[in-house]
Amino acid sequence: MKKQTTLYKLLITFLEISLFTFGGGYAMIPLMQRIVVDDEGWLTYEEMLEIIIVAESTPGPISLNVATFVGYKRRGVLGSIFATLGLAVPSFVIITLIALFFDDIKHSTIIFGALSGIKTAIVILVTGALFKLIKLLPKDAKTFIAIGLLTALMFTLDLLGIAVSGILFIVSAAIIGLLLHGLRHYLAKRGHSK
Amino acid sequence: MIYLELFLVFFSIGLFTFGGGYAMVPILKTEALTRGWMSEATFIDFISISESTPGPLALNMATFIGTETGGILGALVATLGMILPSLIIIMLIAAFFQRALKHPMTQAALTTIKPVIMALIATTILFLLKNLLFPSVSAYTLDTIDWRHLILLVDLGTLYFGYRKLRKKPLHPMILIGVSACLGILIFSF
Repeated sequence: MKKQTTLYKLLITFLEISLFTFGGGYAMIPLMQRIVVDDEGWLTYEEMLEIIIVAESTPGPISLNVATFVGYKRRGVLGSIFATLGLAVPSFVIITLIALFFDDIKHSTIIFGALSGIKTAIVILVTGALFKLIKLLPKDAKTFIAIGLLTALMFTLDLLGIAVSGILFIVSAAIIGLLLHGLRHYLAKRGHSK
Repeated sequence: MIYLELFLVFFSIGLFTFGGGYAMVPILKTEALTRGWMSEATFIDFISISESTPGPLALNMATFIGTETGGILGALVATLGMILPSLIIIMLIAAFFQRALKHPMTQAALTTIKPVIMALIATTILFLLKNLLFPSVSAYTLDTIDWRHLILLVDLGTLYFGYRKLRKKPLHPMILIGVSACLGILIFSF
């Protein structure tokens, strides 16, 4: 039987994740995978992917959505609140301090250098996280061609400066999935009656 | 009253923006500038600092703008406004999600959504790479590439993926972030 997660543990875990998250969106996924899936075993990779999909398809920052979801899954409403709190505290303390020493920080070459380095690490970490998630998909040519074409399309739109929200792609994909499901159902039925 | 205004602005941004921190930047900019909370230059400074300090971008921006306009209490109110929509929506979904997920219809939709999510993440990676290697240009040639970032990228990539191959266990992200910060100081600061 799994040991029950304490609220304190949820708070501390998300505090830790927040302290090492730089940037927004997917930047926190590598850490979540490592800490929430590998180390704590609170979720499986499959569940992690489903939560990312839910987080992408609902309003609000992805990190907050994931924290709320994991907190709820472990300890219900209170768990959600403590996980979210853990995520928010470092931002709050650090940014409040920075607001006071804003000008010193802006001109510090040491901080500039460290951040340039960290930005490079984020690219590698997110790439590693993507490889892990792709392993969950069926390993057929169809899937990889779809991912390749979609990436090419999205990146071209990006380069052209055309802003298309990810949610539009997600909703279209859901509709196509449901239509295919319906079609398969229909064909199977017709095959039966023959 | 500034506190109520802060709360409502961040609550509505939390409620209506999809796609996380980066998607919020343009909307937040319009709000902050038209309400006269700050100048455009200050806003741009805020974004670059929010991006480069620990913590999710969205929460950093809420704290920053809150502090600037209403002090510590302003920061609290803005953060609360940002958090509440996610908290409520996701708790509702989590409460009903487990059962809905097993449904064949949901599974059918998820099958086609998954490749889209992979493509969204891959696009983010390409976008980050572009900004890293070609920070200020629109021509992508060997002359305009940022060599220092490219070398660091190759080094860190070798360390991360090499470690994973050799040790069968990935290097902890925190270690890679620590190493990258030290190397960054060596390469870019002096």
